[in-house]
Amino acid sequence: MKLNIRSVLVGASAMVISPLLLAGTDTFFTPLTQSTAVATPNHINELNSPWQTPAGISQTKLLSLSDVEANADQSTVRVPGLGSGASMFDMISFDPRGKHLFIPHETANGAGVTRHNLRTGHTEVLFSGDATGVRGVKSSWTDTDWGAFDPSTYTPNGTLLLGEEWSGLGRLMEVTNPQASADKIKVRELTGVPNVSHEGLLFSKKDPATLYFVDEYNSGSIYKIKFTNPYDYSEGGKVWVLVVDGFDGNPAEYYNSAANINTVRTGKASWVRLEDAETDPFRDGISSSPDNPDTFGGRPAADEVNGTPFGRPEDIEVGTLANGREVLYFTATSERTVYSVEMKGKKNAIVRVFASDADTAKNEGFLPTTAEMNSPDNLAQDALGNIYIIEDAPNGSEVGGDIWFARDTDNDGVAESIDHFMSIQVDGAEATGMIFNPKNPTQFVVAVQHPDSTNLDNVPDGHGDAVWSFDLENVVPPLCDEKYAYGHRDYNYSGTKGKTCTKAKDFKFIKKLKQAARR
Amino acid sequence: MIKVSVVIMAAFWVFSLSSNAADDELPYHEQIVVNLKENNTVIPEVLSVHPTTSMYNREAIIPPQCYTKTEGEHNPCYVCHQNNVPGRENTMNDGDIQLAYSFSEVGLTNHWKNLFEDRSERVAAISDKAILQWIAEDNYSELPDRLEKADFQGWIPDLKNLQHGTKAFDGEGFALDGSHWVAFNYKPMPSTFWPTNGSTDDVMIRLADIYRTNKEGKYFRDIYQANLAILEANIKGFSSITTPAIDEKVVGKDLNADGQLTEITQITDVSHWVGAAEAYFIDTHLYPKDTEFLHTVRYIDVDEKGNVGISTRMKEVRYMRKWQAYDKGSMSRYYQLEQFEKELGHLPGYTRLGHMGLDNGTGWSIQGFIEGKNGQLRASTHEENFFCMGCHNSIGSTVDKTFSFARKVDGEKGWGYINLRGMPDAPTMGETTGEIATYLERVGGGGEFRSNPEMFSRWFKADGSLNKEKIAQAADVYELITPSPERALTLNKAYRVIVKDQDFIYGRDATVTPPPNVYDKVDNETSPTLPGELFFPWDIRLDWRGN
Repeated sequence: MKLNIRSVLVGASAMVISPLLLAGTDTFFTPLTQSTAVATPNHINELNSPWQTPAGISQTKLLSLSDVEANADQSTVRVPGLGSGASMFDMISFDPRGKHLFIPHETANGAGVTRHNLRTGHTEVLFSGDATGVRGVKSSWTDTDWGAFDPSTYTPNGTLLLGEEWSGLGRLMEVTNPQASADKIKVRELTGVPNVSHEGLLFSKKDPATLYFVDEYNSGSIYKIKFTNPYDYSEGGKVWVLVVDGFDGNPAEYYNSAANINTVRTGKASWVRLEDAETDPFRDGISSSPDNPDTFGGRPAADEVNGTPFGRPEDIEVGTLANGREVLYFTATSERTVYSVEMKGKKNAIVRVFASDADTAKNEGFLPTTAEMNSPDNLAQDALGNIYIIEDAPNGSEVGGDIWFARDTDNDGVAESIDHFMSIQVDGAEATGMIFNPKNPTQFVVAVQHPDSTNLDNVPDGHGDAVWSFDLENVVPPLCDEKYAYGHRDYNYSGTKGKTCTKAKDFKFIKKLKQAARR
Repeated sequence: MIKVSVVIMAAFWVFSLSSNAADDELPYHEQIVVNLKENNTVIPEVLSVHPTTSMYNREAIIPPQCYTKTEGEHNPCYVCHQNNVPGRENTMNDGDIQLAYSFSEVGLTNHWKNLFEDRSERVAAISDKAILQWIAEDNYSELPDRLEKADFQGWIPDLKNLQHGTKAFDGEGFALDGSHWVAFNYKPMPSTFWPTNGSTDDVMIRLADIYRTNKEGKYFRDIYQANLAILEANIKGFSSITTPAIDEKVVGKDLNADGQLTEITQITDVSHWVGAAEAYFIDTHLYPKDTEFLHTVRYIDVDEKGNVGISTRMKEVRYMRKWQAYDKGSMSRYYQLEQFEKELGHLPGYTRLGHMGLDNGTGWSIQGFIEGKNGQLRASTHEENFFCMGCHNSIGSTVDKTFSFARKVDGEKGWGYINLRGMPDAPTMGETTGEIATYLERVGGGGEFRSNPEMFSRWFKADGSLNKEKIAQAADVYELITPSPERALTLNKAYRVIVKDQDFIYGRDATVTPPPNVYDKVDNETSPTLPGELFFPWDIRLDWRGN
């Protein structure tokens, strides 16, 4: 009984404190007004400043394929014969000390992970496959090859998880000693986690034994697993899938099928356990084509408990709402939407549309942008809990994909506006792996994935996939004229007096960011 | 400082393409057309903007034929749009497009406005003599030299005397110039490539050096022919194939499993390459790396006796090379991504390879040459190349993005320059009625647009039904799909007018008057669709066994 009271008290205090600690902020930069045009491979923009950014944000290259390959002491993954998809830098992880970056390679086969030391600049492959696997041919995938490592996440145990997405077998791999020297790296498959088309992968902030993950599929579900032994993930655990209570469509069909398009997929929801033989999430199908509904066991198992289908869930972020509850954000790329899932205890939740291209204002209070949020893929979160949405397209188009700042000032899980933050100008590339530095909260990194310049047959001296570091330290707060202002707060910035466009004292954003990180 | 330089350079380029200030105010695509009409360079100049920005039709991959009116009963769509055949690399799975329109917002408008142009007067102004003289001219031989002088970095035509057609090859299809191009005899794809609808054509294949040589690097025709035969079997999914005589001793392998090394005409082991490439990767329905195709599209020649054939003049020289060899798994991912992009409303985009053209996304580089304003061949522009991507990328019926090789007359008989005379109307694999006869019936006309009166009068009865009896009496494919001399000349003239206009971005179909059965706009929801019973599964391969 005492224990119960204590729990309630702790919970109550958290509810009071959390809004102060993790409130979303107002927009701290002047949003862009259009997507940037992309140039030719190896264009000076690709080499010097691959993103268009708001004023005051610096960008510095950490590494590129060509840089690493020019150095005999360093290494990264390049799979022969895969053209511009030969390296595929994807969803980067930091270790908690901010010393190393871990770069998974989303290659069709021969996938692996590269570690980059931010202090020494040294880059090396920790492990990679032998490139014998063939997408869709199950027998070709052995314990010597992996495909399409898309997500990576550093675990509370100091290990590194990597998930196979569109190639391989949908496996989750664990590097048990990611800080060791490359020749001593140990990797194992976590067979206790159901195979799915892995993309988002993050641990709960409130329960380090719980891992959230998704199935990137047009009838994709949202999952969590609570590991039996939080210190050894190989023992597996209990698996749940998210079911929106009001969903009455067909969970096995695409989110936009006739049976599902007009169904309810937001509102009250429950986590339903996959626990018996009928809902066995480990009965993978005979195919290994991610396009098939029964390839990965997690998929039909979710269907059998009415797991709500979403349009290609991709990346996830875990944060805390103003009410102190944990929130899971996930992109649904095909829906041009980002959802938020507010956790109400272990079994209940509320699903909301956090931001969507169709219904969320863009650049609210600022000059409008012509850009669309037409391909939300990755997510990132700063120390204040602000969410950034990274698009994975338009790839081959003449304009680059964008990064959006989701403005949720009341931190209720529904953004008031998405503000145009950055735009990539590299030919054939998408932005991936945006993540903030846990030790230096004004810094974040983003990768340039599969630019045309990775293909040396086309661009012999191609710059290739790259990772860039950005710093918000000197970001210029939004200045605007009366016409577009709605905040009208005077402020002094670098000796200049001006008016902000926002309601908050956003010129203090950097200070608040650093304070939040220290906490 | 750098930025300033770039701006100055950009201004220079834009200015350099325009003869007067007024042209600068034209949309980019019109500036390009003006430039093509005013200049005769073998490499068209480009604007300083991103090539995609300069496009008129961002959905140029949707060909004009896709805007045909099916009116609830005519289905010309089945020869392109098919569901996946198990084992094949093509997982476009677009069979549903047979029955309903499924365009992007941009695609809803038919941008091929040349279709709606009435060229009657301009065509009438060209005499028969003038057009015959025009198509008899050789515009191919000079192309390599012009390209070299212009420092063209892409593929430069290297097959000598191709303008003369069959005379450039020996009886087994090998180019006489030693270039290792090999011609093959195939049945033209319905119906754009039927001569009666405007053009003649030929196709040649060339495998990489490694497939022509022994392990010591020495060239042997027997090895090359064996690998070509093995490739044909794999593209078609056959377990054995006939071939011109091959000496197994030269190849060093018992290819017909008779326990001896002899001269053979049948290969039964098609699971491996031979010679230097023996250990190289092989899979069904996939071409090996660096396979090249050369395809020329020509006018319709008419000789003194009224025979129809290929012209000396070329409308287009099309070249594709498999510069990246992906496995089927990677291909299926490509199709998946393409579907995702379409679903999100993104317009198609392709990697630019400079003078090598465009990468179609699945490993083929594609570059074309087309007639310039004076009829000299020139490199195609970005948008003109973009047009190729529709057929060589975005449809479900092809085998590794190609058409003709899977439609080659099987085995030994199919090596040699294209010849429609004597070629039977072989049925599609899995069917029994001739492919052409079947197509005419399903389409209700002699082409996608059902606007070929000559085909209608020849092969249909007055009540609109197909005259099957008459078709059955046709001697060969030549008789079925070649036009009368009068029609041939008219179509030639119509295309000649388009060449003068240099506005291929608005369409390159040889039409004189606007075909009536074409939409200028489509509505995905309300335009008439086809009922489910008019869905036709179709295999691009042909069943030559009965002939």
